[in-house]
Amino acid sequence: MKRQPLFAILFFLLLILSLALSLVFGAEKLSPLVLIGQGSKFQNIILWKIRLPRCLLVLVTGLLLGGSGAVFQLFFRNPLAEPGIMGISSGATLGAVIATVILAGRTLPAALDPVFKFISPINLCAFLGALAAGFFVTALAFSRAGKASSVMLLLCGTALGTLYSAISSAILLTSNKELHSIYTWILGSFNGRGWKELIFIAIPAALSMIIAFIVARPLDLLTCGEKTASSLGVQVDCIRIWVLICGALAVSCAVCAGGTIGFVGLIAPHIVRKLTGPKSRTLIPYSMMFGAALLLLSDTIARTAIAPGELPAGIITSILGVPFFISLCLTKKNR
Amino acid sequence: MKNVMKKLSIVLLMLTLTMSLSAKAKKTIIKKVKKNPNATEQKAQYPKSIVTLSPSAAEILYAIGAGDQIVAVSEFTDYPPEAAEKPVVGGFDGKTLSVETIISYEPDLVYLTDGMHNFLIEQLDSFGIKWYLSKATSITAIEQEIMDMGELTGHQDEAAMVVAQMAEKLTQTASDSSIKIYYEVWNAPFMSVGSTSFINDIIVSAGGKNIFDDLTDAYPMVSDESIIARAPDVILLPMGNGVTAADVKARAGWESIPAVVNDRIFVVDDNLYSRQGPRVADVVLDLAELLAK
Repeated sequence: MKRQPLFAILFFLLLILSLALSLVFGAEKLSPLVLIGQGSKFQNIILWKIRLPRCLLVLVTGLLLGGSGAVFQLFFRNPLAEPGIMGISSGATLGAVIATVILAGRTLPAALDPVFKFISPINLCAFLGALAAGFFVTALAFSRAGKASSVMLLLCGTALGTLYSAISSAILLTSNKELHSIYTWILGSFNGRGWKELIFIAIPAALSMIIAFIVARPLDLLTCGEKTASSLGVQVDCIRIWVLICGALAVSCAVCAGGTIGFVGLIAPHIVRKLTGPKSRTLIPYSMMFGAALLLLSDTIARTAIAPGELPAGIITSILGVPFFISLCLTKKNR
Repeated sequence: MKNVMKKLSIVLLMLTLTMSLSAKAKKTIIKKVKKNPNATEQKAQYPKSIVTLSPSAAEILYAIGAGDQIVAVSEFTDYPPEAAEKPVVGGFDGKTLSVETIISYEPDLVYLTDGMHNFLIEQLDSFGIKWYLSKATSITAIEQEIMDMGELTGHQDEAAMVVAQMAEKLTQTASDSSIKIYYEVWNAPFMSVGSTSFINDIIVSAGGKNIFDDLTDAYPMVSDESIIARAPDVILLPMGNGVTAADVKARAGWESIPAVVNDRIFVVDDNLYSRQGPRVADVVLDLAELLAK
């Protein structure tokens, strides 16, 4: 118990350190003078107009993925649960694919320009696709209120996700000119993202994080099972819908920001749980911070590994996450 | 027990059905190949039914006067207009091609593209059908390919003339220039062309320098920081992306790039830039003119 403040400080420091590293390192070498406003004109532009918005976006995405991953794992009491497996990421990909294919070589009506000043058409459709997929899954939960078991929900979500992936693949096969660009999108990359995306996802992201904190306490009571929790006064059906909304919003924002990035929502809560225990009041915020740190680190590596070329950040998170994960599984003794 | 027998009989029925259907399919293929038993004996004869699997292949054949020897083309073949009227065997991409459709036209030569249609080579060999693999990754390679096609189709003189015309156009632009060019293949994520890309060759021939020619990947994903740091003098945008010069100017952090400052952002026809055929010389000339502005 006395270690809690220590952990809070540690995680926060880790987050700040990752943010600092990601600002300092990148495709182009920056001298430390840039931070105080000196340095050449190009260096200033690179730091303040390109790296800063991108790193902030990565930070927010990491917070969202880590937090929603923790919420899902707590609610479904399943170590493999994360919002992505409910088919929401696949729904986002389907939205992006449809947008790419419809837009291919066509110019949009000028009436839609004010909308597209805030967000690119593909990202917007990805966001809407994720929300639609989240809505379908939530509707499933709502329609079978009382009778729905969480395992059923997970299965339905996974099945729907497979369906969306299949439809995406079918669409892409018939219009293969766009294949390469959407492939990189699917792998997950923050290349070229900045203030525009950050402002667009600000409100839904904030909503998702607030919901995550609100459901934290009831989620603790759910660890003994849904029946026990409901006998203790927890409205399980209500919580289920809030959890799904939180996850859907989080993933929608995350794919809008950086494409489909896997593993962060899965790994961060596990690692944090190993270090600080399973209490949701600590798991959720620490998962957020750790997820953000992990994603920042991955994005920094993605930008510097083959500079000036870039790797998709989604690949790096998988490469970083898997050894962590396996070592966790191998050293689990008190579970 | 009854259930097991039922299931077993259904499985057996399915198996026999599939086997008989596939046997039928095999028969039709063998039948058609038997119609061309003398493929190897027709060495002295020039091919009369060529199937081209890329738009540039059809263009090259028409340029050297072998257009009537083409029996079928691929999708996206739009130049010259006569080529567009030939029957279509499928898309440019290997996934949308069927060997059966190609063979149904009874070709004596199939014109393939390296990297896209290599999987067809083994099957074509087993059916005894001649094939030519286009590896045009540079303008010199294209000139050689045109000469090869001249040899193969019996139009050596026309081929030599086409190559000579191309070479003449190219000498008009061969100047050692240091205009830095950024060709934007895609904008989300940023993708450009590397040193092994055909477009890089076009840029160099027109007298420019590709800012990413130190990358060997043909279409690498690049960091926007590097684009800004390398300060290109000219930015080329493919028409098919729908991105305009105004969009580029509005990008955060791009205002101080020389190309944006001097308003040297041009939209080019990306269809032509990827057409590895005789029109590449015209493309190079046009680009050189753009750069001279």
